[in-house]
Amino acid sequence: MSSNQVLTKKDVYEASWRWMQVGIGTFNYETQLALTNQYALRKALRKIYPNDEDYKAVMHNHGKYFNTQPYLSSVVMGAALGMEEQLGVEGMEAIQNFKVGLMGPLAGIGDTLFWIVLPAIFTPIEAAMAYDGNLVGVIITLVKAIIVGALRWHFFYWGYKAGTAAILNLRDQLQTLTDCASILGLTVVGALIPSLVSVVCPLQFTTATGGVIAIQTYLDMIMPKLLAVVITGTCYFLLGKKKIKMTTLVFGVLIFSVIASALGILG
Amino acid sequence: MFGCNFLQVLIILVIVGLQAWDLNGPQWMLITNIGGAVLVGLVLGDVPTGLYVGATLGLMSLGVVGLGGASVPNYFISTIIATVVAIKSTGGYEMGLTIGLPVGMLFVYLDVLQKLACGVFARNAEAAIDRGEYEKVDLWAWVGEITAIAKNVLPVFLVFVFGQGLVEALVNIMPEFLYKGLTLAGKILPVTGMAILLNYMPVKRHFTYLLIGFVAYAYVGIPTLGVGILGAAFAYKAWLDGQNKATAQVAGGMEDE
Repeated sequence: MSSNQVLTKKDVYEASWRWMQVGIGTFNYETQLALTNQYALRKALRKIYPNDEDYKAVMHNHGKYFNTQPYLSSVVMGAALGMEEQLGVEGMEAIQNFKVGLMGPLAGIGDTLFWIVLPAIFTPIEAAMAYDGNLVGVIITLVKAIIVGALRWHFFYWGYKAGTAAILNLRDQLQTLTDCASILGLTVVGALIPSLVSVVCPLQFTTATGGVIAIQTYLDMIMPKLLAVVITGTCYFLLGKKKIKMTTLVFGVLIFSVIASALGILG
Repeated sequence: MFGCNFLQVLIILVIVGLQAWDLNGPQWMLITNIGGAVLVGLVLGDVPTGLYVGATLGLMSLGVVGLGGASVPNYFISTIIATVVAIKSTGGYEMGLTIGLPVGMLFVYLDVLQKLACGVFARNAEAAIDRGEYEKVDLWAWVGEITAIAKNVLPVFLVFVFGQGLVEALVNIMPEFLYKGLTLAGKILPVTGMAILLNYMPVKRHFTYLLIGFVAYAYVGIPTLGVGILGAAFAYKAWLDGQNKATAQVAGGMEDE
């Protein structure tokens, strides 16, 4: 990297910070995050390409369709900036291929890890404590955000330093990490279902001898929190197998709740 | 303005704006739904209500993420509105959900509009580069960012301006059975978030751990954080197993050569 190096560490971190400033706010349907990429790299690219014609060409090159999980976008764009410095205008096609090639695989794994599994671990703990009027969960989640944020601060530079070869292996490492984090997340969700669904069946019958039979007592004998399991299972089935839209499900739950409570079946 | 003073409204709008910038910028995720509800609770002097509303909507929002640029309901603004209405109106938590949820869902249309507009901004930036006006890229990028923040702040602002009359009218006409139904809905709605989440996670492969988590809580009575630590133990074991397997494969490969 020594021969062509024109960027300082400060330049790279500036590009990184610029990427974060506008992030996914510029998302559009045609080129997705291209405008953010142009905004982020504009100043660093100018240092690499003092010639106007080259500069215009590479700026337009980064104006092409690009989108992946934002944290990993930083890693990819860092590596792309490293390639620009190494290869110059000759590298335009290679850089575009590199970006496009990583987009799909990294989006799949990155979205799962950062947007699904990580919240699956922390939000349940935060919410369970919040229901008890306890702020500790909020603080734990804030500490998590600060740690992830601190790591994220360096992602762009890591990509720049590690270079393209290392990033091609990134997917496998993230896959292992996601798998382990999923185990943690599912264990927490397993506890979350019975802890947060506090629905009971208020139905009662009076027998001929004057005794009272409460349905809930019988349900508890079968399994604690049986209703929670049934309701979660039904929603899971409707969304997954029946492909019902989330908004439809929310309205369905609202209507079902009004009917079930009016009939006194659930409360 | 729901009996809030000007300063309180301003602080709440700033909280929404900061969360929107984070979400559309660095994505540090510093203000969660529950965290936002707690902040609103602090501003309005009722943190316990904030915690309760935040927990319900926080769970609902699990798995509701706009992957690949998809437009999804914005439960953060739902949370903020629901908390304000729950604390400041006579309709309570149920009325909070009644107002907050539809606003969060209508957000989807604003989101699509803003993303369409960003298409124009991106083309403008491209044209500016052609003309050699490179610093105009910054302008259009920030126009995109500011409209992204505005699409979050605007609905909350409108609810502050026009919402109170609507809430009062609803409180007067809403029958008792609807209230009871909404109370029940508040208990069931968090499940929708969990159900989406489970659809995204490898439930079939790791069903064992879902069962262990359930038994640990429902039968053994270990608190959620304790179950989390148990889960961390399983995850660590899986990580070590993965490492050992990788090493064994490398060693095996060497022998073959």
